[in-house]
Amino acid sequence: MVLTAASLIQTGLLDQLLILDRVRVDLLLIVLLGIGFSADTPTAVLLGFTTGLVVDLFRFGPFGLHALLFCLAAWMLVLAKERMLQSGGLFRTVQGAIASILVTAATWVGAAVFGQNSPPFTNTTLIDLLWVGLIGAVLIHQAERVGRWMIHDALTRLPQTDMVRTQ
Amino acid sequence: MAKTAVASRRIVLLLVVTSLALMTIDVRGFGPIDSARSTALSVTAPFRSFVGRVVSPVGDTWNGAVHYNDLQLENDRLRAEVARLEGELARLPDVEADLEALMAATDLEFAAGLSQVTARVVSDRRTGIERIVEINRGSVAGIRAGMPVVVGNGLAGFVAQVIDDDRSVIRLITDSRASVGVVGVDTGQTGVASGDGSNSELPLDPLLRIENLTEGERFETTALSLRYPPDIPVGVLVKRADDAAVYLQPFVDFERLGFVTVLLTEDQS
Repeated sequence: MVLTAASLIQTGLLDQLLILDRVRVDLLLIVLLGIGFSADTPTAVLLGFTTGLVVDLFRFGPFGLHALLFCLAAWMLVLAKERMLQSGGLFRTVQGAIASILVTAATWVGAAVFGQNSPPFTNTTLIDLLWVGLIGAVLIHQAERVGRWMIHDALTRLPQTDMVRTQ
Repeated sequence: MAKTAVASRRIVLLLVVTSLALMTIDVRGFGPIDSARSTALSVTAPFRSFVGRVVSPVGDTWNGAVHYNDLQLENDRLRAEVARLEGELARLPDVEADLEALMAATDLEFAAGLSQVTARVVSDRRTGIERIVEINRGSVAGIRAGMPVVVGNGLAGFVAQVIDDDRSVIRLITDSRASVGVVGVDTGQTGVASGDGSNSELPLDPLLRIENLTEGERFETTALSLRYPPDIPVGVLVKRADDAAVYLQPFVDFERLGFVTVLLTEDQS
């Protein structure tokens, strides 16, 4: 239901509201970030895969491309969450920004690899990526709430102490 | 923990393989995937339309706020564009007339095999005594004095003077100092048509009796002419009621000379 609603908002609204006429707010990417930072690995990759399939459903590139990318991205997010130093809200904000940028860049590269027209790398590309990162940073906390709600998990508290998780 | 990690990797691997399989199937043109996409888009179309309608004011506000400066610039640009187009629109009859004149000057059905230079009439002055027509081609284009000047439907005159590299003066056959030897297409009657400066009919001095000429006969340049190549249309015969004189009504409209073609006759000599 969340994915459907996000898809409708994305295709009906956000795809038409561009920042600087170039940068799009990718709601499903934000949802993916929320999932990645909220779920365990199997749940995250499955939901990432599903989210990617929904994205593929509303676009006309190779069907499965976003499923692949989002699945891998969710996996990476979980790994990052489990292995990196956790330091509260600000750190998660930075994580959200970096993750948004990396997943967006990976999507562009993946699209290029699989024969789609990825945006050309120009002087404005880095600015666009910074905007993507800013959007990810702003929305990551809300995305996490949505992610937790999606997986019906009891994970309601994130570690607030400086510690390194070990396997 | 290790078992969980291995299981997670297996799931990831399985999903990656599934994704790649889906992409392969889709690239090969698997119908159900296209159907699924079409269904998804059509099913959600009403919702997307509803969302679009509901939020369109938001979108407009957003675009207006974000692109206010752009809109102002666009507005200025469009105003300038409108002014420019209005100017072009005002010039449109001139452009059409130029195009028509150019086509008329270059669409020759005679003088095949002769080198030609198309020129624009840049000055057309009537001094009260004579008509001075200048063109924008001169010695650089190979133009020499005496070369015939034509337009699409007939003889216009000849080059009276080459002023410089890019300018010449032509003398029309209607000029009182011009004359041209002509021959009737049907009867083969010959004569000399001379200008009288009126820019209209050319008085024709036939070598035979006027009674033998037929009203409406076409006359062309004769092969005996030294200045003009043969078979260039000149005009059509007009008789006066009393048969006292005959005239050639020129094919060329001398009031609308925009472009002319100079025949480079010396090149062929």
